Amino acid sequence: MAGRGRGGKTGTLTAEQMAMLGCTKDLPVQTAPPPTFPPVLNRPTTLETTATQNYQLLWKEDFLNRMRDSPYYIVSASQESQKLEHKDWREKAMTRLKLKTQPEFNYKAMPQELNISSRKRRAADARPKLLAKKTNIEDRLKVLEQKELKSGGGEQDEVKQESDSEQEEDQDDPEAAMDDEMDEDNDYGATYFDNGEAFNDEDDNLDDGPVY
Amino acid sequence: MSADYSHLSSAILEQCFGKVVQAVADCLFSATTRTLGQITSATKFSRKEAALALAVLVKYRLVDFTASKQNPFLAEYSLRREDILCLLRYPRYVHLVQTKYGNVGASIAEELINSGSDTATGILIKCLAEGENKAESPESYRNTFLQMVTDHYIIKRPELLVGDDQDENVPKFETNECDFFRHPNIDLQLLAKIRKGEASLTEARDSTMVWNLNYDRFHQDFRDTIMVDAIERKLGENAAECFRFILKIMYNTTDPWQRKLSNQITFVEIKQAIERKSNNLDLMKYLDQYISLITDDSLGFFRRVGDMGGGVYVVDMEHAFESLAFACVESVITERFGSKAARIFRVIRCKKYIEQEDLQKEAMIPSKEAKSLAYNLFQEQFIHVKIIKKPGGGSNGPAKAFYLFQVKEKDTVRMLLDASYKSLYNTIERSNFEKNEHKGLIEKSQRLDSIVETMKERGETDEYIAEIVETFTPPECEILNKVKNRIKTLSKAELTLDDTIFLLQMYQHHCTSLPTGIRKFK
Amino acid sequence: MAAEVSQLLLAVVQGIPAGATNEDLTKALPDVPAATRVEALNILLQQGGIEILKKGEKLVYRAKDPEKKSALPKDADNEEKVVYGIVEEGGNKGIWIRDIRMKSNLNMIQLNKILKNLETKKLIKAVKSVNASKKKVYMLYNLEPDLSITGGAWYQDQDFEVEFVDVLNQQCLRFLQMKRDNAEKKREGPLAFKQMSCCTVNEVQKFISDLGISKVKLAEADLETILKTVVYDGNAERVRQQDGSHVYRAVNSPLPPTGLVQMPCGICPVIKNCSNCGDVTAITCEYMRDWLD
Repeated sequence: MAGRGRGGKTGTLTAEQMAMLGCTKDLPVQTAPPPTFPPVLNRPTTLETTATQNYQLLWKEDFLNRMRDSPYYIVSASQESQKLEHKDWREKAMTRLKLKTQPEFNYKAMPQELNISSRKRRAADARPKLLAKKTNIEDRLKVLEQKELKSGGGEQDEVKQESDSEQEEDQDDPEAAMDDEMDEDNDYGATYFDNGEAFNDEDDNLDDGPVY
Repeated sequence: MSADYSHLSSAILEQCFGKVVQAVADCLFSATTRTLGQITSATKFSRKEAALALAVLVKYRLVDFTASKQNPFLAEYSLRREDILCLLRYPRYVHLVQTKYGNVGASIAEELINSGSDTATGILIKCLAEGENKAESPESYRNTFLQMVTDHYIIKRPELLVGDDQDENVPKFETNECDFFRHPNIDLQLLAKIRKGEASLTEARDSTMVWNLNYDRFHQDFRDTIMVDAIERKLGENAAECFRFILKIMYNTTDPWQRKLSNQITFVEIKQAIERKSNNLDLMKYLDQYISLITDDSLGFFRRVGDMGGGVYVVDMEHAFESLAFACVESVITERFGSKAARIFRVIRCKKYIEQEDLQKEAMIPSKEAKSLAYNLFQEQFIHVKIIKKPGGGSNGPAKAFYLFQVKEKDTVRMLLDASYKSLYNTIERSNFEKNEHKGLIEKSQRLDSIVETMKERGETDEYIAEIVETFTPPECEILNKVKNRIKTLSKAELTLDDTIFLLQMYQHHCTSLPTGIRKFK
Repeated sequence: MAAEVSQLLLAVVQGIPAGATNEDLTKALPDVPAATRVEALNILLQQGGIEILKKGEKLVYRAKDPEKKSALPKDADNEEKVVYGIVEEGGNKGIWIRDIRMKSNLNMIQLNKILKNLETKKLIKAVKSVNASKKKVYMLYNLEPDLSITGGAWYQDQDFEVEFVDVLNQQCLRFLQMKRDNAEKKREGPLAFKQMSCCTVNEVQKFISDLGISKVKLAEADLETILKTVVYDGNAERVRQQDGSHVYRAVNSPLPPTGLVQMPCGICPVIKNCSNCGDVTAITCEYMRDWLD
């Protein structure tokens, strides 16, 4: 069984070896570069969408939307401030509301270093209040919408100014701005993160050190 | 883990959790373990952002951590690479639970997915808070939850060890196999109090027992369905029903993820089970015949190994998934290269090794066409070439080489699995692209929808509503519908692509000794 | 040994004008081992001394008409005798001109002349081989060329008849499916159904010959070849019987079209080149575009 080693590497046959297989001589002589998308034999097989698939498709769409609006969909602070400039007022409002929706983490079951805020309040306390929040966002959006329908531009400017001022803050210190946003406006209860100070204080038992 | 899988994982994570989590996971994908410090310096995110991303990944059970051996205060994180694909299977999990346990079950599964893992009481409170199932009582939620535990669709997480300070830095957990499916104590009275705000969740007696979906259990059902459906397509409904019973009996004595063969089962066991639970008279009348039909079939799912108890049998998972994976490979070849190429492929596989000349004779395909088809299959790595050298005449004569076509099954499957990962990645990318291209339009329509909804709630006149709706012009409508259709087509492709991926993964589990991410209990 | 036996066998076969069965031969020559007998029969078949016929279920051997066996005329010269001898040795597989030259030691011009001469006298003939279209082989005039030379029923003047084979493949499959559909109608249990849906090669041969789609008569072996292609197409299974023969039955694929071929990437000819950059990406893909619109 000589030559077994080479048998393994089938992708590297020489022209001569291919000729032995009777392969090369039938290859068309290339006169022009092949088309990027050569014609294909068949179209993809299309099958009817089943009821099961429809259920799954709807669920999935719903799931992805839910995830995108959840606090677990994380947008970098720098990306966020950039994005805000291009969005219209409603989206900005939505984004801000989203930032205030507190994520729910069981920090007891995670390394301490991941809990970047205080460890005084635990997930359990936050839960019941969180449940109410989802509807709050929707209500608030509706209120905003109604306002727009009734009075047009005026309100819009107002909100715009508001977010502009926030943006300035962002530019000064994106980190701090994010924390501020999280702490302000206690309507939405259950603040989970403290401001960044506690974090800085506690970040001491690691040698690899903070990055900023 | 291939590059194709790594791209796919990255795209899936971006879709669900955004770019920060994606980047942190990418960073973990390429390493066995990393510390938070290493992640922040590699990703350039702030420590805060990286920690948040990690917390999300830990919450959704996509990242594990352990204390470093050198420094017990330092956590080292590792990505559960295989589980990332499971995010795409969530719709299938929920649907399965929906079919088995109705809306109550679906709602429990959904809340478990949303929270990654939670206590039973915690999950039930969330389910009850969701408006949809108001008609259902807390009892029915509790009973369904417990039934899902009994049926292994829900599994207990390793329990948090409460210890000294050191453990607070990097928590430790204790896994106890006996506890995996032991029922939690769900106190409905306390649950009612918590809902009214009169008590806190921490008071619940099950507050240390955290649960999550047991993916492997779902995968076991998916796998069984593939096998039973295959029997039905080939041998009909009765044989399929018979095989479903066979699998059920198999699980009495066999670990569902035993790789090659099941433990033995006897004819008598099958007969008794069917007599007890089936009312299919035809199946009962001809049971021995159906069993020999399944045993004799070339799919090779079931094998007779002895004569005791009316016949002793084993389920041959290895043979089964080899048959099925190659039925899949062949269907891809047929669609991509034509039926003659599939014929050539089957000849090669059947003959193990074959020379070009014999190949065309056996396949009855003219030599020129046979050569070009074999060449295409070779180039795209569906088939392989074995070179055998024989020394020429005398000691210094030139060596003569024989070139034999062969199918290296594991390589072929791996290649196709990677192609499927790449395809799935492509659908996600394309879908993102379509959404981005028409972002303005999609958002405008979403806004319009919510405005119209508000107006309806306020009881505005139809005319007024129609006026608002008309702000969306017909051309805009047309484009929007087109885009929506595209996105739907792509999403459907994501679902069906996973059928191929799942099947080929089952091949890897049952027909190779590769690590496959299926652990006994996750 | 076998050559001597072959002469004995020939004598036996010639003695039974209706054709000798295997039993006749065993009885007449009880000392000859079976293997030698087969070898000797093959020699005779090659030389064209006997032919095989089918009588009912049995094979019989019959001596070919000695008149028909072309013999070299008395007046042939030495060179002609030598060349004729060499061609005769080649049997029905024929012999290549270069081999004749090497064996006869004649020069090319001379050899060509002699071959031409023998051909015009209808003593030998040149046959084109399907294996190498430019290669001619010579054999005695009355011999039926071996299958390896003609390629059998599937070749017309050395050209493989693709359409013919394809039509036969389709018709064989149609027959197997008809048989299965009929079996399905009778509800007599799963094994009876399976047995009834199995077809012997003989049944298929009869069906095909009744269809009248073939100009040449197709032997069972020919149809077995076609049936195997139906198996290789994944449309049928070959089931071994106790007597060593095979029967065929139509089967369904165990899987529906797999998810991968329900979208363009599964059938994409350039998926290897596909990545995040370059000409082929998920965004620039023309197959994807066509599919989505």
